[in-house]
Amino acid sequence: MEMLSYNALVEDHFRNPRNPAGGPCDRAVCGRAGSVERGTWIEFQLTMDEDDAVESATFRAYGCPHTIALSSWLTEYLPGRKLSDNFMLDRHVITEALDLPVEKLASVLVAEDALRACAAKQEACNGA
Amino acid sequence: MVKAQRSPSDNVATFIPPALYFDYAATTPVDPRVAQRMAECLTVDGIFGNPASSHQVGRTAKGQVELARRDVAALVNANAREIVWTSGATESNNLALQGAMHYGAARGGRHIITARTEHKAVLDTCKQLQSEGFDVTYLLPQANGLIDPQAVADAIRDDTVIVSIMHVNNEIGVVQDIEAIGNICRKAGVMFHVDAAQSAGKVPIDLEALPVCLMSFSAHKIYGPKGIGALYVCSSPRTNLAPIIHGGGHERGLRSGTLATHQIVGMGEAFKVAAEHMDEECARLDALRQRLWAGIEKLGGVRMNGHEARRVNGILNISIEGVEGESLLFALRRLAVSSGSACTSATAEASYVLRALGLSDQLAQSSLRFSVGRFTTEQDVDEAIKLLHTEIPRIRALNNYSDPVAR
Repeated sequence: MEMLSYNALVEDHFRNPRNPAGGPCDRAVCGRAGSVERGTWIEFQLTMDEDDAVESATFRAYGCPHTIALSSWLTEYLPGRKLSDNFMLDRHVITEALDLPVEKLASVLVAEDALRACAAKQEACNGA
Repeated sequence: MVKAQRSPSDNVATFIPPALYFDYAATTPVDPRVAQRMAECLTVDGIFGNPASSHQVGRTAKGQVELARRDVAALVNANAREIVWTSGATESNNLALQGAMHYGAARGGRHIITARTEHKAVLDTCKQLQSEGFDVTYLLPQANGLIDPQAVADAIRDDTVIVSIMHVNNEIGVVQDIEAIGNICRKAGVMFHVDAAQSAGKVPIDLEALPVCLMSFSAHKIYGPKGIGALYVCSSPRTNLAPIIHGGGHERGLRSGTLATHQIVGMGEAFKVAAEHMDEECARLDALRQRLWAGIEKLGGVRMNGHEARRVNGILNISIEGVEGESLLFALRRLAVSSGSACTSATAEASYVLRALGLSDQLAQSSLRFSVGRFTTEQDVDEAIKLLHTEIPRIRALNNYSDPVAR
C-alpha cells in the first residue's frame, strides 16, 4: 500500500477541490483532453479578461488523486496568465509544487492538452 | 485559501480514527481462544517438545498435534490420517500440483486443467510446471465467475493428470460446483484438487461424500495463525504425490520438517471453533453482507461482481462507476478493503479475476472487495456505508459522472 501516501498539498486539493465546475461548460472558453477509459480526463472552463488573459478558471476531472489535485491547483494558478497556441505548462513548477511522482507526469500532459484545447477555442472566438 | 496553522494543542484533532477492517478474506485476527492454546505450546512450562521425539516431552507434543489433526479433519468430515501439515494454502497448492504432476509424469501424464480465476498460488505453480514441459489449460469462467463443469469435461485429455478448481474465489466469493466437477474427474480417472482456503469453515464441506482427491487449507483465513496450513490427501481412492520438500520423512514422507506444534495447535483450535459456530456465524455474516450491499446499492452506478446466489457469506465485490480506482482508495482510506486497482496490489495489472469476468480495465480498477468476519459489527457496516455515501458522490461531482460528455 505504499502508493497511498500523498503530499499534503495534493491531499488538501483532493479533499477540498478549488473551483469545481459543477456542470457542463457554460463559459466562453472550454477545453478538455484525455478519456475516462484511459483513466484520466480533464476539462477546464475559463473566462478571459480584455487582455486575453485568464480571468477565472473552473475544472472537471476524472482520475487519480494527483489528477484531481493538479486540476484544482491549476484553477488557482491560471488567472492572469495567457494561453498561446503553443501553450506549455511550466512542468517544473507544477511537479515541484505538488511533488508529483514521475509516473504521474502524464496527468500534467493531459492538463496541458486541455488548456491547449482552450487556447484553440479562444482563438476561434477571437477570429469570429 | 490559506489553511489554518496547527497549534500544538490541536493534537487531538490529528487523531485518526481506527481503520474499519473489511478485509477478512485477506487475513483474520487470531481468535483469543486460539492464541491461548498457542501460547501454551511455546515455553518451558508448556508443550514445547519436538513431536518427532520418542520421549515423554515429545510424545506430549505429538498428542496435541494429532488432536489438532482430528479437529481439522472433523470440520471437513475427513479422516485425520488424510491431513498433511504445510506452511499454508500456498504450499498446499504447490504440493498438490507439483506432487501430482511429478508423480504422474513417470506414468505418461503431462496435462493440468485449471481456471483463469484461480489464486496465484495455483496459477504461478502451473506456470512453473509449464516451464518444466507440462501442458496447462486455463478455463475461462462465465461472466458470473462460475466454471461450467461441462467445460472441464471437454478439456480432459488422455494425458490429463489433475484438475485444480478453487472452492470459493478469494476476490469475488463465488462458490464453484466442486461436486459436479469432481464427479466428472472421477469418471475420467483424473485427480481433482480444490483450493479451499476461502471456504473451510464458511461453506459446509463433506469430504467423505465429495469426489475430491486433494484439498488445500489455510489457518489464518479462519482466525488461526499465519504460517500454517494443511493438505487433505484422499486415502481411498489412494492419491499419490511426489514430495516437494525433503528431509526427515515427516508427514508420511510428504512434507518433511519439524512440526510447528504451536501453529498446528492453533490451526486445530481455529477449525474446532469454526465448526462449533459455523451455522450462526454464516447467518450473521450473510446479514452483514446483505446490509452492506443494500447500503451500497443506493449509491447508483454500482454493480456486484460474481454470481448473486452461489456465493460465500463474507465476501462482497463491487465496481463503482465514475470514480477512478486510486482516488476511490484514497477517499476511502479509513476502510481496510482490497482493491481491484493495480496501484496498490503487488501485481502490476488490474485484477485478473475481474478482467476474466469481462470487466473493462477501468471498471476493474474501480472495484473493491469487502469481506466481513467474526468481529465485524452492524455499526462497522453502517459507518462504511456512510463514508461511501459521503465520498463517492463528492468525487463523482468533480467529473459530473452522469454527464455523457465526461464519459
